[in-house]
Amino acid sequence: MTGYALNQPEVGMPPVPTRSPFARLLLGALGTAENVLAETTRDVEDQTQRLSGLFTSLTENSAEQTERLGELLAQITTVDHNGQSFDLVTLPRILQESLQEVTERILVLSKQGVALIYSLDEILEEIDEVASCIGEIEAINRQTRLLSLNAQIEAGRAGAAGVGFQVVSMEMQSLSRRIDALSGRMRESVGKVTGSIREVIGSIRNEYQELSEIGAMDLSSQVDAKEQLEVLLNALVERNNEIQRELGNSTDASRRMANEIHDVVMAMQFQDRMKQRTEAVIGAFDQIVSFMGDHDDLAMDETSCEALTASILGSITLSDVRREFQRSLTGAEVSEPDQPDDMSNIELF
Amino acid sequence: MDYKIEEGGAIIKVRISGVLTFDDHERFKSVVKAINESDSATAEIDLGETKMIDSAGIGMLLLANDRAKKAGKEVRLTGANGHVLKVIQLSKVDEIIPVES
Repeated sequence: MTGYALNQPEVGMPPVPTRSPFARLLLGALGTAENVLAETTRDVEDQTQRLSGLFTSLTENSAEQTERLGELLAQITTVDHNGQSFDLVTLPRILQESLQEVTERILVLSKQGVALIYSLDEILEEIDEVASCIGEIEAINRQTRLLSLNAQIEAGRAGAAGVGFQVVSMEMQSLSRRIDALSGRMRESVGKVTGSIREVIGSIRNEYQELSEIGAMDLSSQVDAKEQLEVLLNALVERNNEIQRELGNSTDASRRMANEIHDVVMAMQFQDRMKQRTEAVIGAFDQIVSFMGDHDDLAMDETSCEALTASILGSITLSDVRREFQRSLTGAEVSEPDQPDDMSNIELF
Repeated sequence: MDYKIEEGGAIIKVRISGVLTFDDHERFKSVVKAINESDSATAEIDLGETKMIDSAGIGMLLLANDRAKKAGKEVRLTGANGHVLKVIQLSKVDEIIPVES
């Protein structure tokens, strides 16, 4: 654009013809309007770029925020231990499985304990039978000893004829004593075995009582724990679902916001169209001012003015602006088909 | 624990009332014996009037089931409710012995 100093030719330039006051006024107004428009275009462009930068930064920040929120939520719902990551929702399930395992072991022990007692009881019954047999053997032995004694007496009465029989009866007494000793040893063994078995049964009973005292037997605490874990598990699953829903909503909102900001940025890019229009007006003003400054004497010349009009219209690339100028400069309505302006001329940012 | 035995046809029914705990193991032996010596192929243990059961009680039910199976019989549990049903579910006895409500 050319700067104009009205009626003040530069040094060395030929003197400018004196203009009419209106021509000077028009020239001044056009020059000023041209400068103000150019300045405004620059301002709008600068501010638009700044706003666009701010919106772009806002979009990036929003995306980062959503990502950070997602990472934070992922951290909240997991616990790291020994290099392994556990989902909080699975923890009650792990505890439930552990509780189940403990309960199953208690049951196996209980069943085996009762089975052992039943078996020992059956052994005791058999031992009682053995003890009863020993008693019978002892009774028979007593009877045998008595018979042997009677035989000795009868052998004594028989004199020499009964000597052999006396030897036999004495052998019988000896056998009877050995049977006594044997039954005594058997009774002692049976007593020891019975004592041991009763001791085992007693210790099992004591262990059961100890288990009862710590509440392992009635399983009430396990039942309560299982119910509480189920409640906890359900609550955690529900909370997790809620967090996922909220996160989804937040992500959707962020995406919508980013799209809207993108639309705003796109809308602002059409500031460039305004800039081109303004530049077309500035260009037209520039040619008029130059013409008046350089060819003031030709202001009344039709041919020169038509050439100027053609030059102005030829320099305008935007069709709607060109039509407006054509209408106002030539008075002619132009039936130019509406063609999309070359968008590649628009500088996008 | 108290028990009542009803035997008729293919099923021997044992109603257990009160509490079934370790202290009842001697008395429960009579139940096991009655089931095994019965001519019935199926034993139904009714726990509808059983108020409480401990792990030894569950152990005794499992033992009764084991011994009945060895004798070629089947055992099922009926009527369990409240604490007894919860313990049965917790101990997963229902996966070993059929449970009917």
